[in-house]
Amino acid sequence: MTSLVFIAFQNTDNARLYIDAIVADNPHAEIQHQPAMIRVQAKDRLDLHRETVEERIGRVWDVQEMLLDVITLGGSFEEEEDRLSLRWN
Amino acid sequence: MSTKKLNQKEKYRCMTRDLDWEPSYQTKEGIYPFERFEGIRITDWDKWEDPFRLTMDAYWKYQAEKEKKLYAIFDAFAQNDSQTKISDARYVNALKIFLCAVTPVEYQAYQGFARVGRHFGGVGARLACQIQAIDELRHVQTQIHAMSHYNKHFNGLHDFAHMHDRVWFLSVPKSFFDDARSAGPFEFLTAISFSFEYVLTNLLFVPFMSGAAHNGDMATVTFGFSSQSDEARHMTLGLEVVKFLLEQHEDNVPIIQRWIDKWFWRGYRLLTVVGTMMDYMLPNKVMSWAEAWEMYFEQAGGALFKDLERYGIRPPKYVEQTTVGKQHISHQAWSIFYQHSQATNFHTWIPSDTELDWMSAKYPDSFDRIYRPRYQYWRDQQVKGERFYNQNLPMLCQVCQLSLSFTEPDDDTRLSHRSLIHQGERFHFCSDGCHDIFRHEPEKYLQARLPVHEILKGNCGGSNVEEVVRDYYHITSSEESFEYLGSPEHRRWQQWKNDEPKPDGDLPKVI
Repeated sequence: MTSLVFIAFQNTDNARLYIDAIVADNPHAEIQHQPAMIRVQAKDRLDLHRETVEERIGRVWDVQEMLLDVITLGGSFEEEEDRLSLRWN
Repeated sequence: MSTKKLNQKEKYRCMTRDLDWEPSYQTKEGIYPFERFEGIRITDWDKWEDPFRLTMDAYWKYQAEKEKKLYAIFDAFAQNDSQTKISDARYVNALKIFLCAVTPVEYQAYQGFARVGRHFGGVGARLACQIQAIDELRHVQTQIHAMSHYNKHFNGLHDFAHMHDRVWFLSVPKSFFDDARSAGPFEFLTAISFSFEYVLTNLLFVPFMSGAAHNGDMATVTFGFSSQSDEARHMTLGLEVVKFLLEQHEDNVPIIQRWIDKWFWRGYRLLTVVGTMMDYMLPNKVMSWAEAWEMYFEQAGGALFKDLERYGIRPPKYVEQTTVGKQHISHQAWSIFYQHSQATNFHTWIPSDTELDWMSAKYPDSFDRIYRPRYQYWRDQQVKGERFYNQNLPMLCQVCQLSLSFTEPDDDTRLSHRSLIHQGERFHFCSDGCHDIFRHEPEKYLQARLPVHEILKGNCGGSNVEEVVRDYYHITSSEESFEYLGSPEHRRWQQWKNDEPKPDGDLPKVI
């Protein structure tokens, strides 16, 4: 059985950009729309790169800003300077 | 010399770990007296990893921003008279449960983290507990503020803290947190940070809150998601806590396993009430309780326990019973509330035909066979003017404090009832899970304050239900309790809507 990781955001302007960035970085991700929220799930691993977000948001972006829009996540979380990642080992 | 900006890891080290010091005139054992008695062995607190490297300055910055967004929405909600724009007034009954059941346990979580944070030798753990304690206090406050608007227009929200300590069904969440807070610090973390936050809170704060949005309640979804944005940190912490404890010493493994077994079962029973709120109290549906359980427990929890296998941890005991139970528990709990509505601060009702059809579709294995005929019978009684109220007090489980109303995992037509004799006295349980929890710590659970027993002992301010509800619970039953149809709240809603018939006007016409 493969393990799924997931992350969900409030359906906000910022989150739409994050989702766009996640899709660009993780072609295997699956997007689910539910009222007021967007959930992304993927097999084994999801990454969110600072650079990919900055290209879309048009300014310097700190990975911790994600804390404002995230609702929940599943998987082992890792925060680096340039990347957030969720994975199961 | 150029000033180089610290990267996140260095900043985190300087602003958390570096703030600790070695005691010189007291021993560590003297300062942290509760660190050893549970049998947990910590060999090196420095191995504690915080997945979010959040320092206090960043914490205040982000939390302030969350609050500004949240309170702008509360103001907009109130200014726009949005209480009149929700899907249906029945929905507000879910908020009455939420305010009396959940908000006070957020306060208990605050108290719990503030206490245990004091008792860990590692600075990483202390800081994480401190931040979480502040988060939990924020949740209490934002929830009260959000609900205060509803309190101006609806019944049952006026005295939630008083009710939390007294009303029969609220002893379910209250006793859950009393249990966790009266445990040792490591059990508290395993119970709340891991079993509850990581494994189970998604079910309340994600699909239910999405449902609140779907029913026009922007205030609730916004505080819910704002709380849950903190929970995302807490969950991550919960997973790290458990991995840290498991990696510290092999002796910790069986202790953690037993706590996971216990707190998974306690949490599963507690969430029964949330299942009912989702299936019965959201007129516009997002997903069923069973679907939410599949997505947030079976799928997410499956991946989690697969990951924990390498530490020698197996999925919680009796987890297979929840796969059966997801088809039943929301309906069983609604039946409890429906028949004891004379003693609640919220209304109950028989779902409309459209809603019953939805449940038939979502619960093909159980609903038409067991629950739909029951509701049909109760509805027929109601049409005849004999709306059913159970005049007896329910028998409660000594551990989870829910009424004994669940069925056997292998026979959904038979009541699940376990009991044992301890020191000459017989104790009763709803399930194998609750039975095992008692058997392991009888000294703790024989002290349980069961609301029904207290009423019968005369400790609840009256000799009958009517007096208890009025004088002890502070519930004005003519306004707040009983059937929804024909209640003052139902009539007020109809006035707001200019008596427009509902598009799905198939609720029975009964006063």
